[in-house]
Amino acid sequence: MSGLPDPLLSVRTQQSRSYSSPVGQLLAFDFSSDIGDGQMILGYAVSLSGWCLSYVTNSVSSAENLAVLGINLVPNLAGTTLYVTANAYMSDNKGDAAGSPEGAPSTMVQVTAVALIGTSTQAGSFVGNVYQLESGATSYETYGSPVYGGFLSGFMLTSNDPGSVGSIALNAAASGPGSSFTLSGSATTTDVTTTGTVDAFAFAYPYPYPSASGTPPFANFQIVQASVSWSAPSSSGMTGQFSATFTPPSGMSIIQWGVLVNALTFDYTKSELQFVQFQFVENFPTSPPYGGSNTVSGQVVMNIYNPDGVPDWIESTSSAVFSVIAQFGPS
Amino acid sequence: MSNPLNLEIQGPQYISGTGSTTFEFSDTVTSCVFGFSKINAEQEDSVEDMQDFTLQLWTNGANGSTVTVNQTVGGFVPDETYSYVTCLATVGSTPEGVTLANSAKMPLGSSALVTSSIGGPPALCLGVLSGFGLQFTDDTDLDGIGAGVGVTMVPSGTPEIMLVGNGSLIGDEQAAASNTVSGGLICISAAALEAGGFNGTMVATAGQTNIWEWLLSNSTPATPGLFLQSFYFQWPIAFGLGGGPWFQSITAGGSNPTISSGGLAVTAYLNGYVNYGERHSPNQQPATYQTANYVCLAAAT
Repeated sequence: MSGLPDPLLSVRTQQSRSYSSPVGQLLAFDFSSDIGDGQMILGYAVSLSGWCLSYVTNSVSSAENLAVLGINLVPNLAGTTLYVTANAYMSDNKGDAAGSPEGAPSTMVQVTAVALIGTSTQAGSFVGNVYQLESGATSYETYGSPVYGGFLSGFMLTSNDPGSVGSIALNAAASGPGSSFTLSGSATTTDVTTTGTVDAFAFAYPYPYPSASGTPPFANFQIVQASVSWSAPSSSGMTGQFSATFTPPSGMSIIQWGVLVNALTFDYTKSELQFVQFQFVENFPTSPPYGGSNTVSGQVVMNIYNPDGVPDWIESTSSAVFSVIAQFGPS
Repeated sequence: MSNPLNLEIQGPQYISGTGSTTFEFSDTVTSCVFGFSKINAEQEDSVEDMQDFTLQLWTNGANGSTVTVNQTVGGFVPDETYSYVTCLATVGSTPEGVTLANSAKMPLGSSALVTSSIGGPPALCLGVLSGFGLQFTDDTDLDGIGAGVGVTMVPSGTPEIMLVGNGSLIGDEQAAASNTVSGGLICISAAALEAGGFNGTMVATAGQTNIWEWLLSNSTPATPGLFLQSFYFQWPIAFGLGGGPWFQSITAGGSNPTISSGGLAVTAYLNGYVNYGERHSPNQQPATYQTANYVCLAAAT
């Protein structure tokens, strides 16, 4: 397409339906509108943007122990559409599982999909996912210049001794130097002993971000860490008003955007949980900023909650580091 | 006469219990992939806790123009358990850009079968389910069961893909650490797919559904291929439901795909039951949540 680099990066977002199956929901990401003559999808990947995992229980209690907690995204490509099976897992190994309880947020998953589109494969350019990186133990080495990432694309926490949880921490990262990068991540808890793994998304892209002093071609995208203003925690959680401002190339504007997550920490009083969420409640699935603005904004809610007895909820020391990836196109 | 990519689809063919079936192709099989198009698994009388939920396809490879696929059953009653199986193969030779393979018993959530020589950028990268081995650490009620597979691209400098699998078993006991899922990988490069005569897509269902998915020109004689990509059942979880839930049966898939006006047409079934009562006063319940996703293919003949 005129004025766009080859290859280009295409960004799409979707969320699973609330009050539907927590496992096996098929999300379809159609990239056809970004594929020009002679171009094809060179690579594809998925990234986890947000989620809510919420118990339905077989007792009078609303909250239960943590034995299994995780999100798993399974991609399949058919032509110009990437199909992603979104799986949200939650169990206490006592017959309680993820679902849509009354009076609590429904289990759901928010996904950003990325496709690398161009006329031919270029050495050092790729998008992809790595599955089941063991917490702090196993890493994946890759090459490219530069490598972007890693970002969370899934996680799994399992316990042989289910119990109340004090905190949950998830992260994915890529470290250099040079063109050799190592992807790593961790999923950990306190108070309840768990085994954790994470899935990670990373990509490499040859062209720099747009700049006044640089020489085209420029990247048709930009990643900006979100600036977030958090509310004080309450039973409704911590509400974060976020924004990210971009610098599109001349004659272009933001046409798509999504969220890439680096690190989350849910601090909590040691307690059972009814639900845990890092969920975008405005502007997801995303739409271009109003009036061609170069700033995207929205609202995210972060909480971990137990309504039984004296309620427990997320603590103010919790944190989230996430970025917005914006795709640019002709204005 | 096969299509330009030498791809032939055979099946679905029926396998009862721990039986087998043999697919006969028109020429020497040079690569193949097999998977379920329909599964039906049951427990006798459904008043027992269960530990093992295993339905597994396997083969010793192609023998000339034939492929024999065997089935292993664990936990389910073999006489009441069956599947319909589809096999996709390249015959005579394997064209550049066509990759077909199966991988058995991947740990849940993991990847396997790294393939680097896929012949350029992919147009079809599809995973098909060929087995699951899900066990609890002890006999238990069953609240949820599912498995699925897909194909991911590896973050590397050359087009490189991996099969990924997932699964879930929810009940009153811990799921065993060795739980696995098996799958097949279908990867067709963009350049290869341009030759025509073959196409694929995916479709999601949440109940019994009449599927029709357009794949080829309606003037192209073709055979259909239906594969189960994933399934999941979760039964009612609420206070006061009574004993159990004891597993009774699951059914997912279709056995009679046809080509109609260039599209794959099939009736896909999806239902699963547990029993919250006793042998003489059963309280049979359907699933609260159920999903099945399919890979739909058509190959010109």
